[in-house]
Amino acid sequence: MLKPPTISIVDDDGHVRVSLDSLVRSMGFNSHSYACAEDFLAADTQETTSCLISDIRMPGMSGLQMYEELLVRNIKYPVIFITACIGDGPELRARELGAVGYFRKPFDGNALIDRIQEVLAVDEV
Amino acid sequence: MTALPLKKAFLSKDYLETDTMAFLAALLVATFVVVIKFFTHLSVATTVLYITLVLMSANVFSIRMVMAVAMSCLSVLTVIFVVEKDYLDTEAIGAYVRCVVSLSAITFLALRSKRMADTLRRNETYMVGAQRLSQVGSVGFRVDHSEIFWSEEAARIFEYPPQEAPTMLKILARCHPDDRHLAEAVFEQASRHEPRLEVEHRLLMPDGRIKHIHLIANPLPVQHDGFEYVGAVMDVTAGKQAEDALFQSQAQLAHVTRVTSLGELAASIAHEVNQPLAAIRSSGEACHRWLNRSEPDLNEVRMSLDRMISSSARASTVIQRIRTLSRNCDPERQRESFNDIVSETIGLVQFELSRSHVKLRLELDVDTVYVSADRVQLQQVILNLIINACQAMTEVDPRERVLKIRTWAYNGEALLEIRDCGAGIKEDALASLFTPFFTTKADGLGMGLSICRSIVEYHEGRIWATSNEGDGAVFSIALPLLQQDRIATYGRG
Repeated sequence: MLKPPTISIVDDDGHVRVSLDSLVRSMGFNSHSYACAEDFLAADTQETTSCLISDIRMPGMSGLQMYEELLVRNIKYPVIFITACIGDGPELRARELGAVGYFRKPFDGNALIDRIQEVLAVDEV
Repeated sequence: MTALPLKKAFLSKDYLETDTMAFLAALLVATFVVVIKFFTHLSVATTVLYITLVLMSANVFSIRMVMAVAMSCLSVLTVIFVVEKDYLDTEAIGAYVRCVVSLSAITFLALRSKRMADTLRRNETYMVGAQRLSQVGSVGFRVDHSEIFWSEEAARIFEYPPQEAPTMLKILARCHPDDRHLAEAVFEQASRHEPRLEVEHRLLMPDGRIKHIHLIANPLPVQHDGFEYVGAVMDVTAGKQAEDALFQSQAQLAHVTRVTSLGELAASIAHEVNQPLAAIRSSGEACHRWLNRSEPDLNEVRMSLDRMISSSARASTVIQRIRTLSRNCDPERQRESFNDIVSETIGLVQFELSRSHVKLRLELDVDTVYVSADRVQLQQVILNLIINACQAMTEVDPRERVLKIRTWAYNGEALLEIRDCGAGIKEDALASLFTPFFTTKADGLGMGLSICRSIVEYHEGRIWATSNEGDGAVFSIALPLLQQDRIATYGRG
């Protein structure tokens, strides 16, 4: 059996992080959570992550800034954003950078899961 | 003013240019005198001719020239006196002395008059310059003859050629049609010899430009023939425009600040509350999936449910924190005179009322009654109602905008009524008037009246509105009167 994909979760809000972690694992994925962008960048995740789900507004480096840094490192995995931010600015920027999903909190978990499965299926192919 | 002789010669160059005739005449007289004296034996009263010469030169030449002319006349006289040996004849001596004396006297008087005329001319130049700088023109009005006088600057303000004689018709022709009644009122006051005339109104120029003028006039201290006013008219357009611009930008700033802070507050609240909501939802969805497995993971289920409960609690805390934040400016109720609060508020909004041409009919209760109120909050309510009333009357003819404010005490309550003559409020709108987010204005926030209600209710009062569509609206507030014995309680509180 193939190893289940690992989803990386980055969000400074503890409850959201844990809940999302639980949701992702309930789907049968593996998951790793990080409390801030710096932690994720420091970890060696290039080979292990199949998909990244990240918050945008975080203390320290923002999710978008982290994404820019990841692009410099030439990552191959898809990135989905979840955010409590209001306004179209962040979404436009995220899409510009190449994010495959953008969900506003409180997001529909099923929609998120569907999107994850879509992008992973594409990857697998 | 328009006294023609004074306006003739301003600078010394103009002397010779404009008074060529006088110069030639003087020359003629001089020649005449010389000819008569040296080439004929006619005893003409040459003194008179000398005097005429001096007076004519006074009109034409500078003071020095006049003195030179006078001195030369005197020397000519003396030379003739000596040459013809007139000093041998007593009568001739008498004639000579008379000549010298009258010539000197006339020269002195002519020079004096000339100096005064020069000063007058200089003063007029200064005044014309000053008027032009300050954009103030002088006006005079003789009531019984309906004659008007004005200075150059006044003519410039009304944009008529300076040489044209002013008339009442010309002035009224420049008045803005909406303000004509104001100008006519002034003329009517003048006909009744009122002690002080003052008016501020707009002018409309033929090319459509609008000017604002301010006119003040007082009767002459000593009236000779008929009743005459003297006054000044000032072009205050620049000042008015600056005032208007300032008021506009203040209002805009207030609006933007209000909208921005409300918008930002809302964004902040949304962000804070959306986090726990997201956690609750994700946990719920995870819960389902854990349960739907062929082997439900009950531990995960339990943890998800715990998370849902604690996230919900967190959301409540957020809301509470925000409420505490907004309560930082806690209102404080104190013993206040109801009429004082109302008059103070009206004082604050006087400018806006006069700018909107709203006439205020104020009927404050004769007795002073006291209420327990937070002055600032109550003023905000009254201000809000007054401004609403003004805005309701924007469609009404400026001459008919009337705002009636009344206070009285009845049945243990202090009552305030604000009545406008706008279009009134529709029946179905009346019911939701004080609910949040209800507004009939295109750019209204809809918070004004609901905040008013919440403030009035905090004061244990009542607020309500009545209206007949097309007949204006009446907003009323009732607050409980402060009873004498309650004052003692407050003191000890």
